[in-house]
Amino acid sequence: MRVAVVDYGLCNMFSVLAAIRECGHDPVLDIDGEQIPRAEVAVVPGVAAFGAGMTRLVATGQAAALLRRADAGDGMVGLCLGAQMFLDSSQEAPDTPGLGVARGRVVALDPTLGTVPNQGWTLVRSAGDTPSGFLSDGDPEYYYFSHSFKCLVSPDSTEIATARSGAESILAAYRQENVVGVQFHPERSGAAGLAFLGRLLAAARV
Amino acid sequence: MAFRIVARLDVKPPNLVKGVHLEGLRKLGDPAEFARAYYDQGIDEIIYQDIVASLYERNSITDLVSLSATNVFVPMTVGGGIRETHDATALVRAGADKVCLNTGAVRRPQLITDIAAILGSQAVVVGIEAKRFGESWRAMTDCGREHTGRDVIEWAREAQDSGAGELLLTSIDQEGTMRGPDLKLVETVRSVVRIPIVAHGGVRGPEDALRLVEVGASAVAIAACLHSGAASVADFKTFLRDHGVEVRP
Repeated sequence: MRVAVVDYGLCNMFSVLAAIRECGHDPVLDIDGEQIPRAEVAVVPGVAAFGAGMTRLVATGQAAALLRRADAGDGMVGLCLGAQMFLDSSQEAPDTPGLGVARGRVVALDPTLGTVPNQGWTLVRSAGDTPSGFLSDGDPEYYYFSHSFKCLVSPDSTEIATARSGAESILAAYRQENVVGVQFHPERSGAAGLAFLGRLLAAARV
Repeated sequence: MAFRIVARLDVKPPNLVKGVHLEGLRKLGDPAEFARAYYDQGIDEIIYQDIVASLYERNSITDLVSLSATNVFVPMTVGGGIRETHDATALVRAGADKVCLNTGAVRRPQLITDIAAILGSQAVVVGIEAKRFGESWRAMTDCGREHTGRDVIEWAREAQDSGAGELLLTSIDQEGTMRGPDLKLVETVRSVVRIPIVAHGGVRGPEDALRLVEVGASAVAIAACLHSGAASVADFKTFLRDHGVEVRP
C-alpha cells in the first residue's frame, strides 16, 4: 500500500517511515502536497507545537492538499500533533486555525489532574460499546504518549479510545469517516504500537 | 501511567562508553547494537548522550540516531552539544523524539524556551548533573567537567519555568559507581517541580528502582548496571510489578 507521509519539517520522519516499512508498506515522503492525492493513505505525524506545525503546513501547500483529500473522502491518519491539527482549533495557538477536516478542538491538559506534559506509557481502552475496529484485537495495550494538549471531538465520532493521565480522561484515538486521529505515538510504542499501526493503515484505506 | 525503565548510553562516537563519575572511559561496543538488544528486551526508552559534543563544540551523533530510529521503536532522547535551536530540530529530523539540553541551557536558558516553542515542551528535556555541595547540590556541565556555581534546586525550577518538559537528573557522586542512587536529590527536586523526573546515577539493581519510585521519580535511567549485565530489563520489570508498581509488560 502506498502511504504518503507528510513532511513539514518538524516531525520525526525517520521513526514514522521506519515503522510504516516494518508494517510492510511503502512510505513516500511528501514535501509539497504533490504525493498527498496519489497515496492510498496520507499520514500526518508530529513532534512540534500546533502553531508552528500549522504555519508550515499552510506555507508548503500541504494543508490545501490535505483539505482536498478530506473532501474526496480518502483516508487520512494524524499522529499526535497530526491528530490535533486535523481538528478546528487549539488552545496552544488560539490565533491559528486547524485544518478542520475533523470536528473538534484541542485543549490544554489540566495540571491539577495529572502531570503535564503527559509523558509515558499508558493503557489504552476502547470506549463504550464502539466496535474495536482498528483499536485492538484483544486486551487493552500500553502505548507511548507525549503531549501537553488533548483532543475533544464531536460526539458523532466513532471508534473512540481513551486513556487516563492522572485523574484526567484523554482521547487516545478518534475516527470521523475517512479521518483518523491518534494521540499517542504508535511508531514509538514497541511491538504493540507497530501492530496497531498496521491495523490503523488497513482501516484508514477504506 | 507506567514507571519507565530507560537505558542510558553514553556515546563517544562511534563507541558506547562507560566511565566512573563521567571520567575514565571504557569502550563497550556498538551503541546501536546495545540499543536494539535493549529494545528486544522490553526497554521503555533509550537515551543517547554524546559525551564529547560539548568538548569539541560539535554534534556527530546524528548517524547513530537515524540508524536506531529504523530499528528501535521506543522513544529516544538525544543529548550532547545542543547549542542552538537548529541543533535540536536537526536531531528530531534524524529520528530523535526528545532532545536533552545541559550546557547549552545553563549558558542560555532562553534556549529551552526557543526549542519548546517549536518542538513543544514534551520534546525538551533538561539534563541536570548534580554534585553534592554541603546540604545541597550544585549543577555541573560538560559531562561533569565544568562547575556552574548554580544551585540544583533553583536551576531545576528555572528550567521548568523556561519550558522544559522533563528533567534528567544525574547524581555525579553516584554515577558509574553502582553504589546506589542519591535518593535525597530526587526527593528534593521532586518537591519543587511538577514535571517528570528521570533519575540517573548509581543504580545497582531493581531494589534501587523501587526506592526511586518511592521518592517520586517517573523513570529510572540505567547505564552500568545494564551494560555490564548485572541486571536485565526483565529483572527490573518483574521486581517492580511484584511490588505493585505499574510497568509496561
